[in-house]
Amino acid sequence: MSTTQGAGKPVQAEADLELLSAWLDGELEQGQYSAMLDRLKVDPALRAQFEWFNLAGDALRSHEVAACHHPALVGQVSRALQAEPVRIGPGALSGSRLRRHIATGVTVAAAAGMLAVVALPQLRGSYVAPASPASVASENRTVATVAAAPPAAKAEPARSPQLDAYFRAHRELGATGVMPSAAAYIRMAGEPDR
Amino acid sequence: MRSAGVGCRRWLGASLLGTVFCLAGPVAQAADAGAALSPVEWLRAIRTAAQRANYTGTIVYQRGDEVHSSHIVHFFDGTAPRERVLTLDGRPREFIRHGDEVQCLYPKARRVVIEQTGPRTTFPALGQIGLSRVLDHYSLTVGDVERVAGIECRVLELAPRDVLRYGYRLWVEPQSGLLLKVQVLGADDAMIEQIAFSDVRIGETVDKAELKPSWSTAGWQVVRHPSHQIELSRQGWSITAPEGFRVLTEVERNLGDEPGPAALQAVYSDGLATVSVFIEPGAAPADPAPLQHRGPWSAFMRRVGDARVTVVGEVPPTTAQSIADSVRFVAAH
Amino acid sequence: MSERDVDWELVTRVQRGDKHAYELLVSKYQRRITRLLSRIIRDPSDIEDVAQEAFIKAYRALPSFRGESAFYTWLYRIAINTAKNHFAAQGRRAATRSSGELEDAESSEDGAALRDVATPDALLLSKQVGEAVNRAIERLPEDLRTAIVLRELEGMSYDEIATAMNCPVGTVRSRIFRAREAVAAELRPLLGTREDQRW
Repeated sequence: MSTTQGAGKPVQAEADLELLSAWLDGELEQGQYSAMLDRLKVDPALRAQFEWFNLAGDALRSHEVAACHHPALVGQVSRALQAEPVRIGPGALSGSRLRRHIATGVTVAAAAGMLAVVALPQLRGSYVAPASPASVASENRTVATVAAAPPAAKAEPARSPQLDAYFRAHRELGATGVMPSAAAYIRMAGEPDR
Repeated sequence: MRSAGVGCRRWLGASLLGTVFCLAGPVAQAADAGAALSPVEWLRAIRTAAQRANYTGTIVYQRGDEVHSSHIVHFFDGTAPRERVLTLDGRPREFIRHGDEVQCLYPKARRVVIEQTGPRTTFPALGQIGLSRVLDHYSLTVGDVERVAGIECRVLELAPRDVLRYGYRLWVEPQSGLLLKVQVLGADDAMIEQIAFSDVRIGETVDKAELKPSWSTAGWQVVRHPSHQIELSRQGWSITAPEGFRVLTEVERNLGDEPGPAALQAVYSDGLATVSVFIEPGAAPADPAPLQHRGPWSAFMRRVGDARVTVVGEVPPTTAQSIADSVRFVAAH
Repeated sequence: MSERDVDWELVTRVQRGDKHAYELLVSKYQRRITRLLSRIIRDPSDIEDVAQEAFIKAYRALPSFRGESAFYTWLYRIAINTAKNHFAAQGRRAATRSSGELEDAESSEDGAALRDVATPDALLLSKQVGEAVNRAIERLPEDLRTAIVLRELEGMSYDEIATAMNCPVGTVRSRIFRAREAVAAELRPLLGTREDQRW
């Protein structure tokens, strides 16, 4: 598993670390998965690498998050956990979810779909939630939202040519690729000619 | 807080980008299976189709009382998207796209403005906003099937996870991944704007002749707004973007059509919404303009020292204001 | 397998009595949780205390977690509640904001509605992390860079990346691993303790 080099520092074999990296991404077979978990329990160097791989992922996604690295925290929680009784829960009986990609998607999507319909009002934060639960009867909802006058629609401010220049410059550089590129031009249909 | 990087290179090669975008298969395969795609897969399919789908149709745009119709032709020529949008009512205009370059034709003014859209060299080096980041700030729910322009679409809700951004409702044609209708939603699901096809033909080969403009542009004035990339922090400016918004690009450019002093523009995005911050040193407004919004855009202007700072973006007014308030001149390096 | 499934595997192990599996979850999410808390709590020493408390509370509540939401979503709400109780116990409101804003945080996954109260040190470190990551990425050969970005930012599976890059899955696995090592190596001097320099 680990080999020692020269100065006596243990060095993780490359193959192990590559396995760990794949494990992190959930790309191992079920049997290998448990085996790696067991090894992480007993190998502190492997554990350290686990931490670093996770940190690398966090750093790629958000510098601010990665900067909140508190290595001592894990040890503190671990010590506090020792005082805790062992907790057994429903997971002890449920099966593994390690499956081929597509099938997993079905399972998760179905659950998320149901939940999100109910949770949607809360996700709006300080916006007042609609009185009736958001139903997925979309046809009714479509009609309702078109009929409702959105507050933003009242008296738009007089067009200032200055503001137009900003909008155009924003349009030029502000594409994200998800919204269709034509949207930026269609939206400005009502603007004056340059 | 953003970090100053030195990214000057598009990290993902153009050819690879094309390959990645070939993964439109999953949507079609899953069409029968219903909502069997993961949120990331839906977004990826939509983004792929936006570049690569072939379609012709009529788009109706609604915002408040305003309604505008346009004719649109779009196809992928093997290397780049080609597109032509022309107005069917109001002022005659056309927008002709070849890849990242768009020619904006204004026949009444006999003027063509050439816009260079799309990411320049991206900043920082990590490039475009990854789709999984979009899902950090929006939750995607798959809903029912509804018809748009006579075609069955899957409805997707992209609900913002916080009050910093707007929500979106998308109607996606499952075979192609094409968006046939989009609504931008504000508080209480109020509809801020809607872009929808009233008729569309998808997948048919499009004749290149469809891209030709309606008018000859001989003798027209040609306008460009060249810009070059800069590092805002080197010029002494600091902006704190709200959670999830990352820098797409920072440039120095001309704003108006006449030559004049340059403005700095920093563009932020969370993968769906984008916001631009304009800084014009020496152009401080006498009276800062009040917070405005126009459809999906909020605009806010204030003074910082002797500079005018203007924020424009598809975000709620408070978000635009908080970005504007965060702009500081720290020091020139 | 999605991140949600990876976490669920760990959760089921904990629910079968394996405390160590929980430590791995703590290790994975400690930064996101402390980042969230740092936007509510001004005192840095308080942040660590509340973070620890939140993780313990989550451990105690784990038997009742059935995977109806992602683990992080569930953990996030516990962290917010722990922060609220912390202030209540100290007989005062959140140091920098009203409880109304705290409620906004409850409903937004990342506490995004909260404003930053970062110290100059934290801002500097964040900037340095960004620079280190950029350096690491730029130095990577293109195929490693592409693989890690498609994995970490685009959330693609190894199969999908293999298709995109037109190479075997084993190659994808190796590229991602080497890219991760390179990024980690760039971050170690910045964020590692002396202990870490051994590895």
